[in-house]
Amino acid sequence: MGISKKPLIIVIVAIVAVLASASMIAMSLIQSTMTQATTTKPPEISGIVNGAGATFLNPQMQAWASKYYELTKGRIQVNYQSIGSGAGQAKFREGVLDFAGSDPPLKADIYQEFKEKGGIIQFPIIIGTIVIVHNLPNVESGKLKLTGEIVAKIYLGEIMYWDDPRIKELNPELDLPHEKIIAVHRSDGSGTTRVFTAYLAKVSEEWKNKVGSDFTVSWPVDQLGNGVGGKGNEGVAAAVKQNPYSIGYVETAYAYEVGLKTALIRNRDGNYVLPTRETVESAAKALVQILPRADEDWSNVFPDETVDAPGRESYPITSYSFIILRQVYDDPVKVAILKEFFHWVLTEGQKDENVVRGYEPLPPEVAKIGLDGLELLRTA
Amino acid sequence: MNKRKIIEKLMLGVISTLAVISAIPIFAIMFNVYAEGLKHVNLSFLIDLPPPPVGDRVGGIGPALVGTFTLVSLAMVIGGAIGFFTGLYLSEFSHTKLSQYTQMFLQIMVEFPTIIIGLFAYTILVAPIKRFNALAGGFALSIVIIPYIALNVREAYKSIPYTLKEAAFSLGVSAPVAYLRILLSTARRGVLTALLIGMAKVAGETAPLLFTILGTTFTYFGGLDQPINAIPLLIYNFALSPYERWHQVAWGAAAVLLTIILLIFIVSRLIVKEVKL
Repeated sequence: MGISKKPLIIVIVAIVAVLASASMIAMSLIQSTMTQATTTKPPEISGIVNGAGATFLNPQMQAWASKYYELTKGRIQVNYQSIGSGAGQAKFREGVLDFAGSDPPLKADIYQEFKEKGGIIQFPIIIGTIVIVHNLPNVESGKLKLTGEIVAKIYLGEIMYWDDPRIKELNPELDLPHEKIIAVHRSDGSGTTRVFTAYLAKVSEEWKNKVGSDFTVSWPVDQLGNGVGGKGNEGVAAAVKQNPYSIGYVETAYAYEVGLKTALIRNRDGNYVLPTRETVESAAKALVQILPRADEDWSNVFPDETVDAPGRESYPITSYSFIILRQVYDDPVKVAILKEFFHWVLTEGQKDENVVRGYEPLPPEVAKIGLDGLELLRTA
Repeated sequence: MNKRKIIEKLMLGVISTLAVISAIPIFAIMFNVYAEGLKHVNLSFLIDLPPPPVGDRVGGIGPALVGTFTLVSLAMVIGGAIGFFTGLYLSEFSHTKLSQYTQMFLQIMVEFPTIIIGLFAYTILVAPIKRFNALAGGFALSIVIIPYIALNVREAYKSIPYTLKEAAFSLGVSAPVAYLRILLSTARRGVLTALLIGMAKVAGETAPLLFTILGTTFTYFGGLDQPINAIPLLIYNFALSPYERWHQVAWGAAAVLLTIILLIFIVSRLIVKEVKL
């Protein structure tokens, strides 16, 4: 047992440090060779912007960011991380993010605060839809017909069985079983719940008075023991899949990817619709005249005024995802990147090949809100 | 055979079975992760950028892998050093009031929810500089491992026979030489195990990173003052999505992470075996 030549920890630390720095250098070399092509051209703006927020928006943002990274050969890197709408707004407000993605727009008081501190813009970037899903073993997807009022009554606990006369009346051709309806809902605070309950409140006076609309609500059906909570869209989708005779609401992408059966829902004009390109576009176009400008307050418009849109084809439960930007940035490079990237997203990004399944593109009239808003970006 | 012997055999059988059952989950987890994940892992998976949810690109976990190496190194440099010296102090100056209180607080810190440590790092290292950054993540991970390392290093030094300590000091060398050269070579297996277990722990932590490093999609390493990614964070984000492509990347990343952690454990086991007192 002799004196060791060097303390072993130092060796360990050195090994770790060497490994890490070697991998960093290797990676930055790889990256610089990948971006070489652009650096030899005349100087163009290049750099990174950091954003975060809505989980719902994340897959579509990654698709856009990847496409734009390829198109610009790595010149523009838009880093978006999914931390939730609430966290995104909060971190953006604390100034640690360049932009936020959010399902709800800013609340009125926070909008005011930003407005006094140099200004804010917020605009829709993509449309999402919420679809009613069910797990009725002998009913095919897209066959069950429901109305907003019936869905409200199910979640209120007033309609408890699938063979309730009010459901049978709408679906004379279906063989509905005498089974209890298990109503699945989100257990966590969610923009999805906010939009879904805004819809129920709009079509059902009773829902409006008894429950209302918020990111989380107290579900009357839970008190009867027929409600089930799931965390996140994936939790609700899993709960519906596992429980026969259940009903639930999820962002449409989850219904497709998990393979859930969807239900038709009656729109304001009395037609039964599913979320499709046409029905969503119809709803969005019907709303164009009531939508504010990008520098205005959206809190009293969305989602309470945007659900249950008029129009023969319109799908009633649509939801916008918003991008929130400051009007004034310190760094002119950031302003240029944000303008360039979001301009592309609002034009080329809305084309079919750049829109991920489960999302619907903005009609040009709605995309214009964002394009006009981007003009307000400037440096201090 | 008499009744006593039968009962003894029976009970031994039951207890052995229970011991085997308790080990099943770890093998089930390993089997599951490797069965689902290993088929996605290859060299380009370790280097490439993460893919978009749909399209042709298979993608990989390059930035997350580099990020995890960076963060673990930071945590070991900051937390390893502080933890080691704290442990040494706790062992060799255990009679002082400060030592007793420090030990008590470290024992509480071991049980601290790591998400709170992340929030703390956000408050002091992210909010003031107005950017999510790698240093804040490394700092948060350091705080997570300091108590582990300190308490284990303390055990390692405590296990050195007192006569050996007396012998070391009787050589007339200075205290640093006695503690860091002579006595460390005796305690090294305990110290190394402490450091490696700490390393394995931080390599798999997600919660302290949620509010500190943000995550990146295209950047491997942009500087310590810039956002960075990490494997556990990538798994967390991709596994919750509805997209098959991202699930595959998450499974592959889980296999890589598990391999890193198993390697660290194997190395630490080997060290324990090879060092003879």
